[in-house]
Amino acid sequence: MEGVSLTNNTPTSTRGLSVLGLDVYVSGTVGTAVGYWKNGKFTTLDPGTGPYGAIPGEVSFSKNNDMYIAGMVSYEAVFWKNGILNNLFLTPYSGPETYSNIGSVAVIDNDVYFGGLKGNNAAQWLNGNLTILPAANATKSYVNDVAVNRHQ
Amino acid sequence: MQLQKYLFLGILFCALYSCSKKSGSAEEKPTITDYYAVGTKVIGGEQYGIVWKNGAEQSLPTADKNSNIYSVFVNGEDVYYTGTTTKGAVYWKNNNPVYLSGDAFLYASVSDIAISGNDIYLVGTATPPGKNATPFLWKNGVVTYLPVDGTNVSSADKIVLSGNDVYISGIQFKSNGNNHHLK
Repeated sequence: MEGVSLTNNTPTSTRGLSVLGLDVYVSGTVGTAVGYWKNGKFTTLDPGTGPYGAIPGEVSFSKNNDMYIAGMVSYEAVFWKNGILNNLFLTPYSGPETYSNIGSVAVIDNDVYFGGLKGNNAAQWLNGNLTILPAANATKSYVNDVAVNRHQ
Repeated sequence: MQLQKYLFLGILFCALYSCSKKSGSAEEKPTITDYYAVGTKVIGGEQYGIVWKNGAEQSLPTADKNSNIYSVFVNGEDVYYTGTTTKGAVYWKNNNPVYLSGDAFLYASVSDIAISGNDIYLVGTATPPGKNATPFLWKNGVVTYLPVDGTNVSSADKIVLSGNDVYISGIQFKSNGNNHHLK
């Protein structure tokens, strides 16, 4: 078992990991920049230099090889499909209740399922439709991971 | 002649209808889709692991005070969660907890899970006696501590199986931060 360092001296973090064929994808940060490594080579999705920075989420692939990376830019939940930014049509950040973030993504057939946070509440997005998830007695909740079980 | 034509069409229609109905009831089962989310909730300043199925909070009493759930994984019809509880590092199979044994796993967590055939792989962070937090790979109960540079606190966060290869990503903390992924 061998380790592959993704950086030399710049602070970095990894968040998601996905393997497509022989290619290894890792989502994460280099300095303030959010992006992904493909086989060790980093591509920036957002420089993270906006007023509220950026956070990466997981990386996942659809059956027809579309790449989805979840995250947050300027306190707003976003995802990148094949590197193109989508903002889920939320209202821009205007206070803690409007903060949103997507950490996790699962893609099955044509359904794209995101999990994250909106305000102080766990939230999910199914094909772009937001649902606030209940959490009995909690003052705060958030989603760490999502998965889909599709069977007959 | 016209009557015969309509009669023929009528018979054809009935034959097609009954045929499609028969195959629908006897061979085609409806597809069921369940959406699982796992995460964290805070009650009275304490963290608890939480599971949602199709948007509804599920009962999981073993996700006790100071617990957390980091990942969810579907294998066939079995649903797995991984995380940490007051009893240490844990994974759940269909809501039943399996606690990792050994002192290193008392203050530890399972970050992610992957399954191939009958093999269960877990990654996470353990605290072997006298050592800092150390990333581990657990395969069917056999523990491997992952190579890191020096003795800094490190974590293993994600695992993916592809062919015969096992991929693990994580973070190794240096004075200025640094990361690895492992193959």
